[in-house]
Amino acid sequence: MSDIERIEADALVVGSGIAGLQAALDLADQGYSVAIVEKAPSIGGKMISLSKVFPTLDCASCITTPRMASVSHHPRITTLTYSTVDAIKREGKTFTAAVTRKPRYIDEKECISCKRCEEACPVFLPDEYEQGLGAKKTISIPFTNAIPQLPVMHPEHCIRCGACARACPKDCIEFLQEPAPVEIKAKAVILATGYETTPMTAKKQYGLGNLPNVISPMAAERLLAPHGPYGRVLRPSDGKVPGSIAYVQCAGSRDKSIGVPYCSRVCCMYAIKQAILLSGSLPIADITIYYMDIRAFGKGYEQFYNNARAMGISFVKAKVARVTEDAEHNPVVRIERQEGTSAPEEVKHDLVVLSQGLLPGCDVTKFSLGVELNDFGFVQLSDETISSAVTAGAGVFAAGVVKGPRDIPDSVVDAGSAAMEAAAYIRKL
Amino acid sequence: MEDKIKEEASRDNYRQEPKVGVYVCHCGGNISDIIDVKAVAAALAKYPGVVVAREYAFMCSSNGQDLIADDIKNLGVNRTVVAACSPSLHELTFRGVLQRAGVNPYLHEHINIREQASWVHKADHAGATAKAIKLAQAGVEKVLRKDALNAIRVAAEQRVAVIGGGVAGMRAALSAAGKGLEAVILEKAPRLGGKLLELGKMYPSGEEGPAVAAKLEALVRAEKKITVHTGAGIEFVSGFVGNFVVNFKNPDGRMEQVKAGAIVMATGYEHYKPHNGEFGYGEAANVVTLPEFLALMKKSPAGRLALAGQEIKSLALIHCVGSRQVEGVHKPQADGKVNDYCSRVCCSSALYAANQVKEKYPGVRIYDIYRDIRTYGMQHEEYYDKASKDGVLFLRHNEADQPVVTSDRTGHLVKVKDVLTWGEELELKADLIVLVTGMMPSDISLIRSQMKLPASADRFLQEVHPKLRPVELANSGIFVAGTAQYPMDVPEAMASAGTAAAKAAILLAEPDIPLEPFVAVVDEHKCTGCGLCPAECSYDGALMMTEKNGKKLAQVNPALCKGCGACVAVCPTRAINVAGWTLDQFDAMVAAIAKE
Amino acid sequence: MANTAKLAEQLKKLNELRGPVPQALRDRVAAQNKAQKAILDALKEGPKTAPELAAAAGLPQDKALWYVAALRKYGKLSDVAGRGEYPKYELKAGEGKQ
Repeated sequence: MSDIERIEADALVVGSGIAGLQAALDLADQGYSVAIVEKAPSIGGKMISLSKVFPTLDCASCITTPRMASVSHHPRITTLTYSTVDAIKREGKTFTAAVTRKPRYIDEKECISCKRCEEACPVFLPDEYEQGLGAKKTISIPFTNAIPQLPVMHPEHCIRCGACARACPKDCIEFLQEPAPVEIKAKAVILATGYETTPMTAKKQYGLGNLPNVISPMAAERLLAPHGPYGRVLRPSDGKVPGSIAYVQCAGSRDKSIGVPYCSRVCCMYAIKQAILLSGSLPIADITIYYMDIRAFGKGYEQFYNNARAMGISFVKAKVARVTEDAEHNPVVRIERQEGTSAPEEVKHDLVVLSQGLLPGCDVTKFSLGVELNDFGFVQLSDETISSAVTAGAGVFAAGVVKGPRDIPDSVVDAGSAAMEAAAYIRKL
Repeated sequence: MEDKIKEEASRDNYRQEPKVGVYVCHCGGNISDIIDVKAVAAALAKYPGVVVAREYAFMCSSNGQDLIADDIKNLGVNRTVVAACSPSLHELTFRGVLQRAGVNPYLHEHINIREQASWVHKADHAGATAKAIKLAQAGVEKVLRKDALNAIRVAAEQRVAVIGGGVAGMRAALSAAGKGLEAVILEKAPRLGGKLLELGKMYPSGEEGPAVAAKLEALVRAEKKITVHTGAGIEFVSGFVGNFVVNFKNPDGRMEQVKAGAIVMATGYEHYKPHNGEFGYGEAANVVTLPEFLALMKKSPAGRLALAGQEIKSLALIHCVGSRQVEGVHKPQADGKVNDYCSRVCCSSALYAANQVKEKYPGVRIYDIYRDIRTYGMQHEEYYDKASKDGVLFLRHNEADQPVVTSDRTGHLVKVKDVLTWGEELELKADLIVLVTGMMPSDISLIRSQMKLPASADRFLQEVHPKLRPVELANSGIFVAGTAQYPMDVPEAMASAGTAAAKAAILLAEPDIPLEPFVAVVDEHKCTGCGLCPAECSYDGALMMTEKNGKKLAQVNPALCKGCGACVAVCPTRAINVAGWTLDQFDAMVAAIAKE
Repeated sequence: MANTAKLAEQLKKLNELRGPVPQALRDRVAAQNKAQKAILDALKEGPKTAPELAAAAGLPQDKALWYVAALRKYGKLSDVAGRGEYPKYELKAGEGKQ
């Protein structure tokens, strides 16, 4: 394995969430070759783990899997998953990216995705794809519709029993696999590194992530997803069907105390969407959204919000001062209403979702490409009145949430324009 | 092994003995929670003509697709039925699988057992399962009667016509030209720039609207591949994907024509015009819209805010005028509908304007009367913050409790039921009322009716799907950019225009464009030349009577035909069929469903 | 089908490279096995809710639910149909369908 793997492409796309996938497809469909590097074991980003998406309530898988499949079948797209971009150097008109393929500890070419290794493995781990609510094995395929369908082994959780290797019909478990370097040469770079949510531990007043029935919206997505950890909506502390669910809006946005003064743009809508889905699966549950301003500003969003109100979801204008719990782990929300009465109240719910905001997923200045960031770590465009994708780094373009929070429709549209800018740049080289 | 596949690929599939593969999708749990998918697969496995029937969690996933490809390779499957979601979502996905595996992609039938079975029969698992079986069996009957079809290819003009020369139009033309396509901008106004020309200081850059327009125009003028026609009045748009013709009148009255392979609709917006008496607009003095206020502020003398000589010491901004309207509360537009949508940009614009007033005239008292403040953009929250800090007084009302403005010579009295003070009715005096008006689409009724372009309930142009095909209209080859689709700010319009150009570039990447072969086909032996069908055709030139060897015949132009089937319905001799949707196929499907 | 000689060699080399498997990990897996067995044993008596399983297996309720999710995913137990505040689970083999 002394020969380093080399890939040449017109464009390198960093990140394979919906923005990265769409940018890659929009370039490849115009005839350009594209290399995608994704750090996770599957392409698809955050979107593939969502349940349904607003405002159309399509199932997220139904929208994402065809794009993932198109990318993986596209003759002009090469995809590297479970790989990290360590450095990108600009040499004249060419970018050279040093990429590391992380070891999955299997022979990727031989694996037939039969899952027998996973079935045989005796060690359970919290499954981060299920936000820890479900379990996976030390060797496991990341999720049902992952692409590629290859298992990943976590050696730090391996007891070296050899069960996986004995179960493998293709003899492709490689306990001694090492990281493999890959060199990618490209003419343009599209940054589509997406976001992370603000941490559950950000606010002491909201329990610092220590209250079992105060969950993240991503966890709520998994509860609502068809292949979710429990197969239905239950609360994590004891498996009870929640009869009363509350959303705390702006729990991680519009909040200077945690360094996120900006609005994260998506939280109102995902909370409304989850509330609608919850009232579908739990018809008798009370669902409350505590909010300051409902920001339903996209096409069809106001109508979506109005539908939610008509369905009986209760929207309460209130500041949430504190979230605690009682002895039965029932979350207790201390609110100060903005209408009606002014006295603070404590309201008990079965399950509370903190509507977290969005933070940059990656500090892209580490690539030293001349890209500038705004005060909050998102990519700053060189002149946003001229182009929505051109960064301060020549030949470097940005797509999706890397430039700031935006929802899926906005990210998809955004990715197309990034692809177009990259195409024009490559053509002029 | 590889060679063998290629050999199969070259065979004429429909001459082979039909071997149908049936694939039942769980769609996560969307289908399998209701329908017993194993029972469906088992029932179909026994159906005549079927060689294999399987069920799988997500047929559309890579693994699901591989199941089909493997069966084609290993079992000789040469026709497929996938019972899953709506064909609008995934029919193309599975046609792609067949194509890659060397089978004619049109020998596939997509049966919808989600919307048509599991979702609508949630409470009746057995019934939904029985229905899914029937539908899938009908699908088998249909696919057994399918012919191998080939896409119709039409030569395409390598040119994009961009209708509208504002931000979105200029950006779309620049992006298309950047890719090497010719672009023609048709702008009805005498100058490029659109609404930018009317705007003052714009967030977030603080640049003046006309300056931004000038920057973009300079780029446009420097681009050789872009032709600009200003003062162009569009008279008639016709044609079809790859071959559109836009006829327009020059300022001098001369008619000109642009031929284009694709059209980008960058037709923009109009400001909502308050009706007479709406918060005193048009009746009382000093009630203006936000765009009017910004124009007036430019003319105000230094040091004091004055309009028409009168000093303004206090002003009230009223949000959501012409947006987020409620039926029964607001007066509808001419079409009988209220504007129930949010205009997205007005909160930020209003607060940006309030901050400018406070900066220039710190003494002016500002009231901001709103329902929700929607400063969603990265820097927009700062405008809200700054306004609060600088003493702008915010009052918040519910949708049913609209503020009431009464005016006399001394100024205006605004009554607001303010929820921030727990529903107390507050009265405040203001010298000026500024109505924060929303956006409505420009009047493009002429083009819309000529090209039958779809609009949504909010009257803006309607994309095919907000996530899958966000800038494509149902009309193949026509794309939407900027505020013609929905209210958006400048950077958002830029992104949308760039993507519209990308889709046009993808469409025109090859010299000819493949079209679906689902068009009417005339059986010349059966056609009696009766002439009933052309009258039913809604697409000009798609179906005409002609003469061949002295016999009158109906003749179809496949590039224009949309495959609607209106002609099929009137033909007394069953001489016309839509390819892929023949009457024989329907007969067989009905028989399969009706069979006891 | 596995190549046992290759496996033995790999595991030997792994032990040389990384040292023995940490005791904490061994303990964790042992506790997992015990918890799983306790839950599956408890279900032999009939369908149970997560809190009931927690009591029977001597686990905290959230842990019991996590094991239920794990065992459910890997086909050892399944949901009992029906409504109620706490859903019940049963052994997969006892499901009786198919």
